Amino acid sequence: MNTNRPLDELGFPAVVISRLLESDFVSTDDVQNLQPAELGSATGLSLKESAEVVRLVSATSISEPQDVLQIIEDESDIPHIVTFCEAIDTLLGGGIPLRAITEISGTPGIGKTQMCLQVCVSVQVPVSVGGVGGQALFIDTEGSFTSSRIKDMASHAVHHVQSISTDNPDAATFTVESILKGIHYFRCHNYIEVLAVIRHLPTLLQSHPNIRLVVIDSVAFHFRHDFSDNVARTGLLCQMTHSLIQLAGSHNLAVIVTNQMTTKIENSGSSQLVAALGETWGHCPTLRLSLHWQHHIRVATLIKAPHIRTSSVNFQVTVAGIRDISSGSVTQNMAEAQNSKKRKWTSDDS
Amino acid sequence: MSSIAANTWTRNILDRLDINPKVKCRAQKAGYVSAIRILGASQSELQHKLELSEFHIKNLTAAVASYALPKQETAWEMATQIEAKTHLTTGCPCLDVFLSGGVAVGGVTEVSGQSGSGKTQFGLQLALYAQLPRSLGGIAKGVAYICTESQFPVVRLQQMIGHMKLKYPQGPKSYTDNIFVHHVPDMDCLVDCVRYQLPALVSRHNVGLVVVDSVAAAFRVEEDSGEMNRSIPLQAMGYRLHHLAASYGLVVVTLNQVTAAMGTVSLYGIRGDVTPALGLSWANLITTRLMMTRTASYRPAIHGKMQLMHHGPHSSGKNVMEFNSAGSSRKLLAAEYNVSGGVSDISVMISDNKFHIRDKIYDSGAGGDPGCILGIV
Repeated sequence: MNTNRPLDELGFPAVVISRLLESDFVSTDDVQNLQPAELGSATGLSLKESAEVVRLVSATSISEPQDVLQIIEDESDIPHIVTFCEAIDTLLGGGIPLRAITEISGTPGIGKTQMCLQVCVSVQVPVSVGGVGGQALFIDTEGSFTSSRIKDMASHAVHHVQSISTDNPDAATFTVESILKGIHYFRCHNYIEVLAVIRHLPTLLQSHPNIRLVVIDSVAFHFRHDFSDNVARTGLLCQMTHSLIQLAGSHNLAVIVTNQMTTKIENSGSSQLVAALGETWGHCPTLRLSLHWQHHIRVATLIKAPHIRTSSVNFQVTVAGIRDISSGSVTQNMAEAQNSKKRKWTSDDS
Repeated sequence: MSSIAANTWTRNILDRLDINPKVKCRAQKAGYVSAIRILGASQSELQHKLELSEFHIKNLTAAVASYALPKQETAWEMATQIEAKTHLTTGCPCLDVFLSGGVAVGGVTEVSGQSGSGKTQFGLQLALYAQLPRSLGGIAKGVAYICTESQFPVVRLQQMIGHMKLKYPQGPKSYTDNIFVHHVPDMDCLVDCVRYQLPALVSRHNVGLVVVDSVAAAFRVEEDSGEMNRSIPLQAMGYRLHHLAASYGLVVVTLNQVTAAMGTVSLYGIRGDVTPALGLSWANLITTRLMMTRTASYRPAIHGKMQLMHHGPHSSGKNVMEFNSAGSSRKLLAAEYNVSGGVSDISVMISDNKFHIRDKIYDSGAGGDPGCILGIV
């Protein structure tokens, strides 16, 4: 096995190494699968020392490199959380992917929180009807979470699932109550509490192994206003993302963070709307989705994705949640836009 | 409140943690004693500074994390809590339905509109309804009213109080005793007021509603000093208001002016030629934004029907309420962030001060008394 390493590479104290080598424990393989007590009696090390050896050896065992074919097979298995808006699902290659961090940014009122609430509901769609069948964790920094809104979306989702699979036993257990009970909520009043929740996540995920989605709405709020020092802020953000991406991989989670927009003034003097928190943060999320208005239509644009071409789609926010714009209203709106153009031209002519 | 909160995170918490004394001692020696220091440090930094193994550090951070952890609940528990008061009535049944219960407790609600669209009327009316007992939709608490634009309209308030007393005889005896008015002339005073005076007032006098009339006036005076200079105190103030609202369960209403919409980029999806003033940095801090516009229609007193026009069955979340009534009507266009999720319109009427109107429209089911924002027929 290529995970085998000589024990003296692991940085034990010289006394321990010499004891181990004396008893002919040369490589990590020799120590693997041993209890500390067994190792202690074999080598004469104290129980504490041998426990440290066993722990370190198991921690440093390196996994075998995978070949690309294996990775492709694994990746095609990654489930996606549907958003109930087909256009956005297609844009994201099937929905919000698990094992990744997705950033949703946009101007106030565009529907970032609505999108998060929608995903909290749709992550619970049973596996038998093509869902993920997990639970959600919502970290609320702005206080914009409303349970009545969740209820609206949940009842529509339940209705939809029951209408497509009437005789499915899973669909019967998918109720508004089960959806509401499957959303765990933290209200964080400052960034310390956000950090505390993220540090607490491993424990929480052990007690609630069904959680498949972690939402931070919004990551920008406290980090933009509680800090005077941008370097310290970036450091904390990177550290936070690091632990989030690790958890996302090991526990099969989707992570959604929302971000605010800010105006970036370029050297030429022109200004541009960009997501807040700076350039370094921009590298942290795996996918970046930007929401904005265009002629009174909500538009979602994918601005960073490792595997999908970036493009834009239209969507709308309804009482039921995030939905596609039906083709009728799109054409109507396009006609509206054309009309306004026409009006402009005519006014120019006159 | 901020000083209390700051204390929680910066004071020595090691003695409250259930961890190995050795770890405690090392942390004490290295100066990592507060939640802010320990949670703000990375795993490797702690390992290096405390000279402890990964295992001990993990224990330490887990203990601190569970100490600093906010309350965990499920959406089901939140939805079934009945004792929690989540909304303050606006005094207008139609508006309450429109806002799904009224103005939300916690968070910052902004009302913006052109001059004369009725922002101050809205603020005054809330100031009175906040003092009503809970059974009548109020929150039975005092009001802090911060004026930056002009003198506090005492005469108008007295008119409204007269009607409140007629309408709600069981309401408080004196409305004016519980309204704390503060005039601030400029940006710096407003920021100081929110930072130092307001927390003290809120904790001492059982204040439940804060009205800032208006934010824009104080900050737009500074316009010549550049947008950058004002955005930092503006954001700091908004953030403070959020904190206050969350920690004391306040209703915070800020009034804002409007500015002409320039350029083709529509930031907020609001139709029309004006957008709320103060820009994106302020908009990011608002939980709910209401936009008031005045429709300059004056019609004879007709009892029309409430027309609730759904464009599709709740499809776009857009309900337009139209009305025919006496008085100049004002249209409240709401770009609601929170509840309905869509841009939706509602029309309400602010009746003028003439008392005789009351007899004409009082019989309508929607109800209404002159001098108040009315949900119309």
